[in-house]
Amino acid sequence: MNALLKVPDVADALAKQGLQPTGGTAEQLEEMTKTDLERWTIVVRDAKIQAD
Amino acid sequence: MRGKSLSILSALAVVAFASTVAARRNRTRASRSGSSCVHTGTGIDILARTLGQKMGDDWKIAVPVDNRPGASGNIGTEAAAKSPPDGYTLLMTAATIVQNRSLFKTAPYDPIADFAPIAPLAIGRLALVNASVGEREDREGIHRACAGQSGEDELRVARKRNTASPRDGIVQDNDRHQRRACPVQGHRGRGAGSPGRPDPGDVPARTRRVASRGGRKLNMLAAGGTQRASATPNVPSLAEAGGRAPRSTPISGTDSMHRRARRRTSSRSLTAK
Repeated sequence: MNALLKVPDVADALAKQGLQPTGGTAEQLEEMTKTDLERWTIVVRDAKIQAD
Repeated sequence: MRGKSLSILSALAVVAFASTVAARRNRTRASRSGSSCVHTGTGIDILARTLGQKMGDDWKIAVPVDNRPGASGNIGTEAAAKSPPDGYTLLMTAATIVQNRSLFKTAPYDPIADFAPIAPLAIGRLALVNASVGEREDREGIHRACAGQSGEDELRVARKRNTASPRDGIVQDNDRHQRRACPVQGHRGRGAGSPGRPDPGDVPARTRRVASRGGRKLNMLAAGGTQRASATPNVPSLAEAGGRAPRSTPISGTDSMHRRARRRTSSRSLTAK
């Protein structure tokens, strides 16, 4: 997956959608998911956000 | 019972989930039959189809892309979570997979327990847009949009047209598959950039103007994050745009907006690393 993100035409296709390829490790994603889950739990609670 | 499935999570930081063992197994088995890639919305559709095609070319198999938008990504995510953990199903989704755990009390999956991470994939960028300020892409326009004045017309358009993630205020052009979000005061959006995410300063915002239904034009007022987008160097970032109001704005109005902005930007949950 990381190798594909470096293929020029893939990077170009993503760039046209405003996406910046990053790539990374499974460990990074796992940590990101845990951190985001904690963060958004607090944000949703504090801001009293409700789904439409 | 829900099992782990090889999943490619894409959010405003696009990411991918699965263990190394699962990835190897997927590649081996894929050579005998086929894999499928499930994702949860239009913007992610582009990513899924782009990478899916390349994966198919690499593995010499067809990798069908199953677009399952709706319920803020819950439909597609649930389908992936309930797929057999055999390495045949990947999921691409957005940060909504973690947000939905709080937004929907009955979210039918656990973003940690039900998925194995593969890798982050990409970061997207939000833009502040407005439909009614014409050529005046200036701070006054941003101010009015954030104050919920002229921006409301555009937001109504965005809400009507959005099918992927209404609360994000994402504007999508059904013909061109473009997406923009409106982090406008009073609207429950993600805002400019994601807290804790690196700022993708060189990500090109696609265009300055985005066509919308009915021939209306959405005007790009600011690029999300702290830096300008390279494709729109004349459009300020939200950080640059700041919070200046037109000179004639009543003090009561600026005070009110000041308090609202302070309250929102000083939230500990938003400023934490």
